[in-house]
Amino acid sequence: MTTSTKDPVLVVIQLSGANDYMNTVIPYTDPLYYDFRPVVSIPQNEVVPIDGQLAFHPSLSPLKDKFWDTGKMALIHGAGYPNPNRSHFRSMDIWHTCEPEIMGIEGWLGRAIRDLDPTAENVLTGVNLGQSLPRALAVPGVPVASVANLEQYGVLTGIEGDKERNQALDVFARMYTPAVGSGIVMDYLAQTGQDILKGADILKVAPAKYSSTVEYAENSIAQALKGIAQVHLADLGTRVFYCSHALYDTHATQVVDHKKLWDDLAPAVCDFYDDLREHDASDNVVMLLFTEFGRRVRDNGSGTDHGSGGGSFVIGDPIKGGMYSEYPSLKPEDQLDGDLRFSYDFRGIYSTILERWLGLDAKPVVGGSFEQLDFI
Amino acid sequence: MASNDIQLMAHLMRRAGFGAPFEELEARAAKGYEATVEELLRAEEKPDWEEDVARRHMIGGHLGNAMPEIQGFWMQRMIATTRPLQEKMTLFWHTILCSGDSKLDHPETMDTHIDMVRENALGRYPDLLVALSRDPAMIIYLDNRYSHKDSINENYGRELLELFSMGVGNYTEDDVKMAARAFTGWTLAPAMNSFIPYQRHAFKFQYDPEDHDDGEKVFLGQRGRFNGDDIINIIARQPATARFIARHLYDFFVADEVQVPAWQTTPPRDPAAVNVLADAYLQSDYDIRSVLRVLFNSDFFKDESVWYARVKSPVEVVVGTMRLVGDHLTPAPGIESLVGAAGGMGQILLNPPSVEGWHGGKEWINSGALVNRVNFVANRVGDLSLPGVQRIVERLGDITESISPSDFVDGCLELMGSIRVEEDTRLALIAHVERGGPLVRDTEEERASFARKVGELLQLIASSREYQFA
Amino acid sequence: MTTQAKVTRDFRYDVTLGRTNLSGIGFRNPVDLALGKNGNIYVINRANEAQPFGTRISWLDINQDFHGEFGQRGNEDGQFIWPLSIAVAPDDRVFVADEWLSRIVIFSQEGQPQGTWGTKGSSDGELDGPSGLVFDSKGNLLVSDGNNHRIQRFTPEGVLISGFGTFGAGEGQLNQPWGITVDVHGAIFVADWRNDRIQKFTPEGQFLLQIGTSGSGEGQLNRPTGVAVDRDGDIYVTDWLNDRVQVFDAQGNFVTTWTGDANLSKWAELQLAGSPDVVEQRDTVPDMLEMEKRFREPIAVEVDEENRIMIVDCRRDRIQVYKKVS
Repeated sequence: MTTSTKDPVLVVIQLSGANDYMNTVIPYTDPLYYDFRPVVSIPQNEVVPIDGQLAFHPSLSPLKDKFWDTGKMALIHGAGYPNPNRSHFRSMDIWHTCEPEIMGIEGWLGRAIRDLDPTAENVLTGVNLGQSLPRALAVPGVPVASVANLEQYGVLTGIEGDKERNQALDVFARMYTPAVGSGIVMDYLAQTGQDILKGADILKVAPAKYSSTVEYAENSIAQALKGIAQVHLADLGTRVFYCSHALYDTHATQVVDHKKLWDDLAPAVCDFYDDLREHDASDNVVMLLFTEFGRRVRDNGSGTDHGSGGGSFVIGDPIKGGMYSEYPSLKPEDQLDGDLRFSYDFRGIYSTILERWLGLDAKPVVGGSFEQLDFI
Repeated sequence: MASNDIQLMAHLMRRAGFGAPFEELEARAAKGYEATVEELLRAEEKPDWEEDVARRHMIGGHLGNAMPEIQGFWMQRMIATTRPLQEKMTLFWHTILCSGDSKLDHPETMDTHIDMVRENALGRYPDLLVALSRDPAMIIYLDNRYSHKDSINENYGRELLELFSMGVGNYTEDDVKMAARAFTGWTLAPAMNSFIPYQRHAFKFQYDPEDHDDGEKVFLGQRGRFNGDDIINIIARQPATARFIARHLYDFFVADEVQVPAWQTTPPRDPAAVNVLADAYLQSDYDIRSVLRVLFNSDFFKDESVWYARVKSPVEVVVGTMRLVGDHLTPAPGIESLVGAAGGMGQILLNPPSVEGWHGGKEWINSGALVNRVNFVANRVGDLSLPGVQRIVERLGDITESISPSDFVDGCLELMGSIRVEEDTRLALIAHVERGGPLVRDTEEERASFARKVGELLQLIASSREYQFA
Repeated sequence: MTTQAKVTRDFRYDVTLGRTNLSGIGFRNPVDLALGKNGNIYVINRANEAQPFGTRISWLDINQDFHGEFGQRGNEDGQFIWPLSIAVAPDDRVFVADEWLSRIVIFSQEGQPQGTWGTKGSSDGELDGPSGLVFDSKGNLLVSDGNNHRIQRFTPEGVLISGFGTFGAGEGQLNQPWGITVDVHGAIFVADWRNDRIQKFTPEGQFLLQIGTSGSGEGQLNRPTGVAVDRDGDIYVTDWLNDRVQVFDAQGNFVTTWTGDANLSKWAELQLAGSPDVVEQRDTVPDMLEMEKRFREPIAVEVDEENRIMIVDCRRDRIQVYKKVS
């Protein structure tokens, strides 16, 4: 590996399905909030205030204690883009490709990975903990490992027995040896197959090398973050990690479901940083949590429907905590079609992270210049 | 052991269909090559799949209200189809005449679009283009509803020329504007596309004469008060269109071409073949079925140099595997995971990345996609409980009393669909079988071990580089 | 709003229940409903497998008070993969047919799992794709055994009592039967789905009458899925692929057709209140209210004691309720 442990690392958590920002960072002293949310609101005596206007959802308490109160958590209110799209697919595409107007193909993190490792020297510069590659990481020719399970990563995982699988992998390696005259695509396949074997060999050591006193919960996001910690601590040169947490699409029974999601997520993030700190490996890791849009201002009697104007979180030791951008107004005349109006272009968050953290030129990655924030 | 007829039939079925189990190849080879081509071409003469039964079990799948519903329904249809070429052509057009749900946000309209494509898939090309121009999905996808008499939106006019018919370099910017003007007024009736409170309502085409630019236009050198239909009729008879469609068909059915944006500067892999297909198009009144008849019966298609000259698309990998192993031939839970599997290999059905569709060929392959391809196929062909795999084990057991490792490998390659691999690959497989000891099957235990060895070898074949090709 | 039937009957559209939702108040691909004591209404939401949490039983009443939901996707006790039919036993337990696992799943009136029975197969007493359930007057369960093309009668514990029907299109024969009901006299009505007809049998399974032929004309049927009979003997059929409900008299004569009259339900109103842009968009669609009325693949029907006819409007995630006034 050509990188050292102290190179800046970015961990991105996608909150899939549109997190209800209004019930995550709550305008608890605004009577309009309770007017619009007769069913889906958090009572004033349960919220966790962060100032005179805003409070966290009680399930974010662990994050408040560990990051907010120590000045290591930035809230970016009203993150969105012009002409909000309320389709999950489309809006997620826009966040992934930074292309609100046209259908983009390349993912912003795929571009960032290409800039971090232009010769694709390390097949693990980008690692996604999940089954298939999110578009944010996809750029033709940029290798990114999508790992559902660290111990099980690789080909022919269905063959039972260690001996049998190893023998099968021997055959695979032999079949993927480039031969003279077999053609460009065959050679390319051979190279790709060898990359897979190499990646699997490297990744395999991560869980083996890992030991920690932190006990992660069994839920999917905690396990994904544990996997990220294992790879990070194995010092494999990975600079961009990605994972997703679902499903925030709380059209109904939101009070229960939304609580459960954050009850899983908040402690998992805390455990992750505890784990890194235990190994003195946290100061070079910044985490971004984003979602594709916010939800309606008014509840629907049980949940909330698709809206716009969400919010993002940036967490980590190098982060200058606090509130950035403006919390959108709930006044009916300020709303956009029944939604919070976006107050800050999300591409500014990306630009800030790319330039001030990963040391890259943001413009070509996000497709323009956007106002950056001082959270780094 | 394989006859040339069966190998050629395997090639035909990989291209004109989604591959076929060995028994089907034998039956078709017995019927004859040309008869099989004819049967595939005359798709509508075959009884269709049982759509009512599929709708009964896949409640809400037909013209569904959510993407997974319509994706699953189409995936099921491809696996179950009795008309493989019709379905393959539907997939072909889906990769060219692109429309996608991330922009539409209206699954039912997306599904109606595919039904329209299927209905026109083997017909006259101008008919398909007219239907496409009236298709609500396309009117949304390429913004024609925002193209007005007094302020045209060029998106559809441009892509119609650039991506759907002639290709860059064969028309001017003025032609784009003229085409866009001709399609003003081709719009949608107002409709409700919010899924609350009771699900979306279908979009309907509407021609608005008030918003149509009825003025004179000069398009590709012709002058007239053209409407959209006139534009399509002019486009359809252009030699550039003939060559463009011919090259697309060559790319999809014969051998991978370079990516479309490079076509202007890179000559076709086989210019003579493209000419033959283009001529067939022009001489048949632009009839796609006639072009395909020429294609499948041509020497350039049958030639061994183009066998395995195409990287399978993810959907071909998934559908072909299911048809081979005989799983999911009728509706069953789990269709969603098959849609997801193709997505994990880089092809989310009904949601192409852009109007250019998917970049195929070599670009289907990257490390993540290859892991998913290999594991998906290996996990199924290694599953001895599946009927298609059981048939392979049985057939292999029938071959001879004692079977040598090389016969064993050749037999498995044959029964997986008359697959040909490079000699190095074959030797690697034989060496592996040799390492596994004798292939006896006298006792119950030995027969079980024999079956396991078959499953393992099928997995290795599925993981080979050659298997990634069609 | 008022449909004057040809004969001397007065039907009125009453109310719509439901809205689109994957959990809580609302339905997703509802496929059947059952009426219990104290006004309980149970609705099966088939949802789809990509959104498995939407597969559940909703428990509500005619006033759209929501009492909860139970059951989920899976093959454990209290779970189902492809739930298709639901019935309430005389002792108030709720029975659900799972056409994939070919078994019956039982819940208490409040939704507590109470066991399952049923084995996949084609022998007597086995099931293949059970698609309709109804309790007879003796408290035994009649099961429309779809892929076996027959009707079987079981005790509530799953012991086979009797059966009738074979595959075919002749009188008394069946082709993938779906909905099933009994009238006050114990006669059995079956939606003979792929034969495009309703058949009436004696309580013992002797053929009595068939209603409907293939087609979309008056009195014709296209894959009928559900059937219900009221106290007077009038027969209601969900004419699935014709997107309509047809009413027949006791002799099978055509009475009237409904194509749907839905308006905004209480739950729908709640939802729209938070989405002013949707409300605005609705105003721009000239025939919005007219379109919104229509059935889309109505799939099941029940009649309650007050002569309310409740129709599960599958693809619109709602139940349209009509009332027989006289």
